[in-house]
Amino acid sequence: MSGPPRTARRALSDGLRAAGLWFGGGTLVLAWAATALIDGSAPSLGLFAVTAAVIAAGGLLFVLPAPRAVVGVVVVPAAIVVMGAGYVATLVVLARSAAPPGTTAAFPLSPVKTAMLAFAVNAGRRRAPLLAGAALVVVAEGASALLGPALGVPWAFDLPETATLALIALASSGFLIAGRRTEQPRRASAAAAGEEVLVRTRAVARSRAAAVVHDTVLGDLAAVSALGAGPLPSAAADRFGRTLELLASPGWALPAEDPGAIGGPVLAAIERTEQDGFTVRLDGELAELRGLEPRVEQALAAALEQCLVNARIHAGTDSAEVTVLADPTGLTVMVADSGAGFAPEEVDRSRLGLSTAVRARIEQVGGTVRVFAQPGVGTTVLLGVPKAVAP
Amino acid sequence: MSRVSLAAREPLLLGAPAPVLAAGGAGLALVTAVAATALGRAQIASWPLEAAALVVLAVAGVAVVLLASPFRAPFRARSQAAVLALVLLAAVLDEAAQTGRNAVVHDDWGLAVVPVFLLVLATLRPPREVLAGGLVAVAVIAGAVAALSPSLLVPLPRAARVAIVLTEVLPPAIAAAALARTTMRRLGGRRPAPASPEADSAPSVQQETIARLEAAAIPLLTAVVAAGSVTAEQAERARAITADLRTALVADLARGWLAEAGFGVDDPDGYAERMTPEQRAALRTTVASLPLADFERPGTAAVDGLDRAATLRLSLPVAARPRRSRYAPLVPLLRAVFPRAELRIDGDRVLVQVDFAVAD
Repeated sequence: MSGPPRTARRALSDGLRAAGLWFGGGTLVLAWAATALIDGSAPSLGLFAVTAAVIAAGGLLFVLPAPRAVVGVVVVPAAIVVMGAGYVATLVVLARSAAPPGTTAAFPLSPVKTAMLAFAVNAGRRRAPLLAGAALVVVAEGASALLGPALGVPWAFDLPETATLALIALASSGFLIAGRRTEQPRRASAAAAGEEVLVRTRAVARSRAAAVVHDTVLGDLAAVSALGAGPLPSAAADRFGRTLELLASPGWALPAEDPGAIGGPVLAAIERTEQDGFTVRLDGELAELRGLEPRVEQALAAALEQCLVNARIHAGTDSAEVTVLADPTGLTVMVADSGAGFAPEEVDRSRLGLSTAVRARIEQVGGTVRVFAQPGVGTTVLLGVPKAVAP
Repeated sequence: MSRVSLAAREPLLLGAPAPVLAAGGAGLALVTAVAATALGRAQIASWPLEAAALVVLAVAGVAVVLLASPFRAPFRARSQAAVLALVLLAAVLDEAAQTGRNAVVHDDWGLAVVPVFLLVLATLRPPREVLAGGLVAVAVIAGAVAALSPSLLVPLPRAARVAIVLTEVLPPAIAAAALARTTMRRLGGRRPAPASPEADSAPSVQQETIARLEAAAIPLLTAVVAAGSVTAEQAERARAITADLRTALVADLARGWLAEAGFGVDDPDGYAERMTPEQRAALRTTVASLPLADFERPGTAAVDGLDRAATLRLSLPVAARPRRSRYAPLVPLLRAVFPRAELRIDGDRVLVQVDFAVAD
C-alpha cells in the first residue's frame, strides 16, 4: 500500500525512516549471521542475539509515534540509553566469546555501532540525527574505552563508525543547504500552481464576459447603427436599458470564488482526467456551461469524463480536445482525440463504455450522442444536451 | 516500482541536494580511503596498486561531482554505471593491493566507500536501478574479497569473509533503495494543491471589460437612451465602436498564458498554449525565481515550431546578474518536464530555451 499522498518533505522523512530501519536492522542481522559463521558457539550467539535485539528495540523507539515536544526530551535520550546499554552488553558478550574481537573497532563491534548510527537517522529533523548520532558515538566509544581493555578488548579508533557519522552530517547539511538555496524557487513553484488556476479562471471569465458583451453591447451598437438618425423605438430603448443595468450589476463576468465551481462539475470532471501526462485542451463557449440545469450538468460531466477516460486509456494518445458550442436551446460538446480510433460497427454495442456510461446518461436528460471513429485516425464524440430537462 | 528518480520527481527539494551530497560524499570517501590506507599501511602488499586504487577513487569522486551537476541534469543510467564502475574498480584494486598481507577484511576501505556512493546515488536514479546498482556492488566486492583475501591474519572461511562484506555493504545498498522507493511511493499521485485564485491579484476580468466599455460603448448607449433618439453621428460612431470592440474581444480570447503573464509573445501558431500544465508551471517557477528587472513585464517569448515540435525562447532582462547557485536548481526543474532545456546568462538578461512536443 502506498498510503495517502504526502508533501515532499513528509515523503522524504518516511523514506529516511525506511532507510534507517533497513540499514540498522539489516546490519544487526547480518553481523549476527557473520559472527555465527566465525564463532558458532550457541551460548554466545544466543546472548548476542538478545543484545542485538535490545539495540534494535532502542532504534525502534525513534520511530514510535510521539508528540514532537516529547521526542527531543524523552524519546531520543531513552533510545540512546537503551542502545548504549545494548552496546555495552554486546561488548561484554563478545569479549567473553570463544573468538573475541581484536579491538573495539573490529568486527562485529564496528557494524553494531554503525547500526546504532543508522537508527539515529530517525531522531528527528534537521540537526537532530547528527546530535543523536554524536551522542551514540560518545556513549559507545566511552564504554569501549572504559570497559574494553578491562575485558581484554583494547580500544581502537573506529574509522567506519566515524565515516558513518560524517555521512549523517553530510546528509543533514546537504538537505539544509539545498533547502536554503531552493527556498525561493519552491515558493515560486507553489505560486505557479495557483497562477495556473488563476489563468484558467480568467480564461473562463473572459469567455463569459465576451459572450455577454457579444449578446448585449455589440447587439445594441449594431442596432444603433442600423436604426440611423431618428427616434429610438421603445423596444430598443428597453433593451439598451437592460444592457446598462446588467453591466452595472456585480459579478456578471466574475469567476466563481471556488475554482472547483468554475464551469461546475464539467470542468472538475475534465481536471480529474488530466493525469499521467494526459492533457485536455478546452475551447469554445465555456461560459455557457454555467447555464445548464444541475441534472444536465451532472450527466454531461459524467459522460464527458467517461469519453476522456476512454481517450486516455484506449486511444493511446496523451491529449484530447473538448470544444463547447452553444445554441439557444442547449449545448454541443465535442470530445476529439487523434489516437488509435476504432471501427464502431465492429464493436458490440452492449460492450461499449459509450453505451452505458455516456449514451445512457445523456439520453436520460434528453440529449444525444454521436460517435465518429476510424481506426488510425481518431475518435470524435458529440454530446448534445438541452439546457434543461424537458418536463 | 517507479521509473522516475526522486531528483526528477521533486527537483527543487529532493534533486537540489544532489550536488552537495555528491561533492561531500566524494570528499568523505577519499578521506576515509586515505585514512584507512594510513591506518592499515602494514597490510599493503603493493603500493602502486594501492595508489592506483586511490587515484581511481578520486576520479570516481570527480565524475560523480561533474555528472550530478544540475547543469548536466538529468543524471542518466550510464552516469550511474560509470560512477559505480569506477568505485568498484577502486575497491577491487584496494583488495588486490593487500593480497597476501590483508590482516582483516573489515578495515578494507572499499567496504566503507561503496556505501557512501550508493547513498549519494539514491536520489539520482529510479529505485529499481538504485537497488540493482547496490546488488551489483555487493556481488563485486564480495567476489573480490572472496578471491583476493584468502590469507588473513586471523584465518576465516570464505563464507565468513563474504558474510562480513554483506554486513558492511548490503544494508546500505538496501537502505539506498528503500529511501528511493519509500519516498517515491509516499509521494504517490501527489499533485500541487491548487491555490485559490486571488481576486485582487490582478484586475478582474469584469473590471477590465467595464473599463473598455466605459471608454465609448456605455456613454453612447446611455446618451441614446437618455435622448430617446439616435443621431446620424451616433449611428456612425456605433459602427466604429462595434468594429473596435469586436477586434478587442477576439484578441482577448486569443490571448495566451504567456501574454497573460506579461510577456511580449511571438507565437503565431499558438504552440505555447499546448504546453502541459507541468511545463507551464516549471516556466512560471523559473521566471518567478529570477531577479527580473520588471516583474510586470518579464520579457519576451518567441516560439518556433514545425509539425509537433517547437522551441520556446524566453529573454528575461534581470536587475542583477543572478548567482550560479541561485539559478542552478532551475535547470533540473525545467529538464524534468522538457526533453531539452537550457538556461544561460547573456549580459543583463537570462535566456531560457526549451524544446517541447505538442499533440496534433
